[in-house]
Amino acid sequence: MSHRETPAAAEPLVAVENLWIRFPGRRGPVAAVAGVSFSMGREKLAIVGESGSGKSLTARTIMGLLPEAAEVTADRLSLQGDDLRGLREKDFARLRGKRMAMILQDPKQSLNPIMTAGQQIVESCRLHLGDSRRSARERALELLHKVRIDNPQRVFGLYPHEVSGGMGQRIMIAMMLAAEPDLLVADEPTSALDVSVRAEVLDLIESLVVERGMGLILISHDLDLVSAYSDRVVVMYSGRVMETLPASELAKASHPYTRGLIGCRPPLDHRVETLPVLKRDPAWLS
Amino acid sequence: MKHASSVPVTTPANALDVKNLCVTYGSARVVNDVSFSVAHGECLGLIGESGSGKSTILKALTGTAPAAGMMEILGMPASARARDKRHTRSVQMVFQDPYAALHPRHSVERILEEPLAIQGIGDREAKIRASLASVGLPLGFRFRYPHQLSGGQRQRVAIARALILEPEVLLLDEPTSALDVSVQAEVLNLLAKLHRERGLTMLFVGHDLGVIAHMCARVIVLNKGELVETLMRDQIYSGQATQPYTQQLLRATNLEQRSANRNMA
Repeated sequence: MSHRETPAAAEPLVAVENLWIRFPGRRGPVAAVAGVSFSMGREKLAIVGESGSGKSLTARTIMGLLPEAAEVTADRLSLQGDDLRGLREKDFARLRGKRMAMILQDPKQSLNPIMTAGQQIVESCRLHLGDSRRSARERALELLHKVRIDNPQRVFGLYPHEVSGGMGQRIMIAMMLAAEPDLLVADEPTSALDVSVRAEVLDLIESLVVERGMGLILISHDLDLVSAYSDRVVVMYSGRVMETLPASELAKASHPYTRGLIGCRPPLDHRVETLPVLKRDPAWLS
Repeated sequence: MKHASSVPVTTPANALDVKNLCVTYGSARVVNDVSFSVAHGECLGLIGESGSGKSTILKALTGTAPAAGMMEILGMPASARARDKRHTRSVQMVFQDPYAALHPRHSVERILEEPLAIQGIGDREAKIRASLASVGLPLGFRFRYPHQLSGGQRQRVAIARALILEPEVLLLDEPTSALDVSVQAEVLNLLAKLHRERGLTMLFVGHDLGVIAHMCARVIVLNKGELVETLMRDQIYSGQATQPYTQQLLRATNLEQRSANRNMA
């Protein structure tokens, strides 16, 4: 395995080719993801699509977090050149944390309700880095500081129910960064948060990812919002990739679905009589 | 049973009048001395962050939160209304999460029929057809179950259920925040159309200034259980607010939209 030492430029951080995810249905298997391909380096990649487009399933495949009933096939599915196909749960468990980590939508549900914020970060440091009790505590405080929490000492001792949604998501981010993974997957990281803190949390994720040279997969239904925090955008609809394009060229997007996702939220500086609505075309799926 | 009987002899100036409303749970006062009114046919926005007490105000209006103060709906004290089904009919509510608001084992038809049955209203078949048509759902959807519908379709069913009793006042508790932004636009268009065509009085609760400004000409801002400011739509669009809290809210939303537009220019 000496070629693992070659620079990351040789192997993409994540490579997915012709990914299919099927679930058993009453009339044979149903494909929730149908032939998705993309690859990424240490960049910020947004996967955008509506509910049911398969964006979360795609990311969860990389994390090894699919439901048991899911049947996965792919021509290629790799993390830094390591094949992820056919890995067992305990193999994935070894990769999660150290090499890839995931932030979920609702911090209230992802944090352990009976452990303090500090204990959870400490656990993460001890598990992945083998820190001693004392150094794990120091590292946890430092991480809380890094996620822009003003008073880490105080927050360290708070339980999840005692913190706001935005604060909870910062704690999640601190935990996920503890083992310095190469890839961070953020699945709708701000959907459960108030509008007033969404931009702050995305800013934080972006700057930490850039600072550490990590790869980021940012999943959302809100194209307007996430495109501002990504380099490239993969637009998914009904289990397929409609279009992949640089975030800076979204204004030039050619696919009608992408165009429909742009500007569907009510503007903040003028009133429009009728909001633009997507017209879905069955031909997109052929 | 005449529906118009819920309107008192003298027609009050406002559809909704709230004065000095306080809601207290144990030692926590979640709504503190809030007063506002909604004119007939107006769509008033009520905005605030999580925990500001905005949903609690709706609960107080529907008699499901311990309220002190004066609340009049269509000229009648809310406390008296809650016990009388003839009056509950004129005020209906649409909830935030359409996944939680519909009975998972009832078909759409049964969901829509239930309020009619409770109110003892006849001609149900025609009413169900009309209500599905009014929210833009095909008639065949009446035989579906909630799990066979998308989020936007479910919210349409929830709106149809609220409208089937032909209410005068509609209480909307973040009706689009559980939906994708692309579907949000569809539901907002529908609500705006219903407001325009039926002259419904609406109280629209939300946390997204863009959504609220789209729907409401007048918006009240709630912070930590207190009413801090009243804004007109144009003040939101031009970014004017006098209270620090509202300014902060405007800035945060602006920041979000600006960052969203960063790549769009």
